[in-house]
Amino acid sequence: MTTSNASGDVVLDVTGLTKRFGGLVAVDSVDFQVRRRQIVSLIGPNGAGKTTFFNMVAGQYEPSAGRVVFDGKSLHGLRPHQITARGIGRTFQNIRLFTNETLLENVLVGMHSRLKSGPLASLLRLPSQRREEGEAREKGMALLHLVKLDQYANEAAGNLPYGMQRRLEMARALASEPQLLLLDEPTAGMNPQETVNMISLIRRVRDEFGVAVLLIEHDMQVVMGLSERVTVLNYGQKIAEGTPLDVQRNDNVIEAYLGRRHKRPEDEVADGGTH
Amino acid sequence: MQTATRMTPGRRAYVEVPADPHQTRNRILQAIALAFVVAYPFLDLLFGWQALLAFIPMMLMITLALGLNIVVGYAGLLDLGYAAFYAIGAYAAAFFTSPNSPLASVLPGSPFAWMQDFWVSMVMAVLVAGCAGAILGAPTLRLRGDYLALVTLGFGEIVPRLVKNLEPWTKGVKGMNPIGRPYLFGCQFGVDPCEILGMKLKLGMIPYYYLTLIVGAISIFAIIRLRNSRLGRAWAAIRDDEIAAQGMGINPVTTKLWAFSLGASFSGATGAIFGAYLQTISPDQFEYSTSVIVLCMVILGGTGNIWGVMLGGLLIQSFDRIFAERLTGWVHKAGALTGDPTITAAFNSFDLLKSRLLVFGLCLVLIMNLRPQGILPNRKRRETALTDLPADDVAPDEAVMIAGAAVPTEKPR
Repeated sequence: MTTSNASGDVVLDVTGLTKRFGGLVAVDSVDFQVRRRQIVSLIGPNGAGKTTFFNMVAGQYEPSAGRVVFDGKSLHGLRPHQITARGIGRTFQNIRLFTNETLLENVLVGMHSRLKSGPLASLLRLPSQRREEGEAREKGMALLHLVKLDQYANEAAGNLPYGMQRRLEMARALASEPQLLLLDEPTAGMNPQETVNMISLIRRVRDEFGVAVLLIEHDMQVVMGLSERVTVLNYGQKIAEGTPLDVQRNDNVIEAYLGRRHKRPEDEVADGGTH
Repeated sequence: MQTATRMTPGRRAYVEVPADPHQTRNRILQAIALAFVVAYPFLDLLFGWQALLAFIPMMLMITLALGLNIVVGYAGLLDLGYAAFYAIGAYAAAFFTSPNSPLASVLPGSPFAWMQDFWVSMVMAVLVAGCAGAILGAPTLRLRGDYLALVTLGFGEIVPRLVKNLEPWTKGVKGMNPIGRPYLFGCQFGVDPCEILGMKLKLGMIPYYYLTLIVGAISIFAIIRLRNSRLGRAWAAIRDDEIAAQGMGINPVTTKLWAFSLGASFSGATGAIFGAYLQTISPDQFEYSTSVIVLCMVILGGTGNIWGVMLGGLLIQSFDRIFAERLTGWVHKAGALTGDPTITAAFNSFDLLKSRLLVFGLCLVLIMNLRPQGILPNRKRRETALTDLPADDVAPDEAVMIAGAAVPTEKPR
């Protein structure tokens, strides 16, 4: 299944990724690939290991075994901030904005790894620093405009209502100029209208910025409407992978979500159709 | 933040960053405050307030609080041992300039004689304190909150003990005395009369006042610039949410080390001036209580807001150094006015100087209860969330169309 990424088309190549917490195997030798400009969903029941998987890719957890290759290079041993600098941006399951800072400042923080000015340049306001800051602000406002929040640029992020906070997190993640965007439940807690808008935003972000998107999602409308490929985890193991349609029809997936159907003896004979 | 509208042809005016509505008011207040402090020595002479000698240490303490505010207010690292850096700055300067220092027998006549110059020693004090900040910062990087506070507390205790016990270098509990004075135009600060251009002037401590003022002003200037820089934003991010900050590409190790180091370097300059002003330093000036007072100034005024920190410092210090004494004097006078011996005696028993720590403690309890964020909080956040916002009614395709036009950045390769 796993092909070499020598083609250059694979942006994220995960092999045998495992995480053990004591005796619990949260993620169990998962192989996984994301291609450039692809939107991939990771789904699974609660506790299936999706967020743990995310945290290993983003460097928050160190894998117990296996490797993560991003853009042809191993991410082994890198700290989260180094991984961001390599080109993986992320949002969080429970929104983690810098609530006391303004919207614009939040987005500027997202650009941290793309800016260079050190303390001395900032103290002296060297021309290079001023130019960099000016460009960063301009770009930050453009990103806020993208998520329709530019009119609140000077508000503190903590003042925003929930749905807008999710959009701000998205703009902040984009500010790091990622090649791969990890979105952890981007539509959690949103109303149907907000969800539709978010789906459209994610798709357009992929189109405009050329990023690959890997999302964890529970909302099947989002998963099925957005993803080109879906991977299903259950008890840390990959139980299915394919197009949304394939996955929907997969017996293992149905079992994981709904449980096994108790078969009566007379069904054995008629068994053959799915469902 | 200034309004920055750039209408490059073919580009939308989305770059407009809204202006701060309080900007004009703030500018006026700042101008008044600046005019007052610049003119203060003359006002003091004119009106006979005789508080100049209180103002100098007051401003030094406020500068110290501004440095601590970088660590506590900006980066969110609770530091209970800040006086240690103050001590390190003061001793570093004294070490180079004092005739008591072991260097005094080595430096004169050597190629390094220039190190005995006060200005050089002040720069050294800044560098030494900055390095000490980084060295203390290193073992605390993995610690948070309470644990970090305990380690800094330990550091704050270690430094005065070291100073007491390293007698050959520091003269132990006796302290170092005298200390090299700053000078300008061949005139030593605090030594009268002073001859400039053939004029004999009696300046008293006024040169120290302006030196302190200039160092304070440079500190404010530097701190504002740092706050609004890439590093300042990284501090705020680490303070608000360290995990998210890492996810945004911020290296928590270097960011925290910069906070400790830069915060400490401000206390280095302050320490050097303080030593030269008092002409003597000893370990008991840098005990735990100094760290606590400076921390109180930061928290009382409004952690993270430099104007708040200055106000907090001004209130605490002016009470401590001016008003406690003056108030006591006024009460005694009022008692004497009554002419009644029992009342006079009763009024005379009133002594705010003796109970100033009690008053200070009561004020802290009151203010922290009434205004937990400090007098001038660092308030970008409102009390309540935004209301009257439009619903998320952007038609998807319209939003996308705008976004496509609005993002001029190159696509990632």
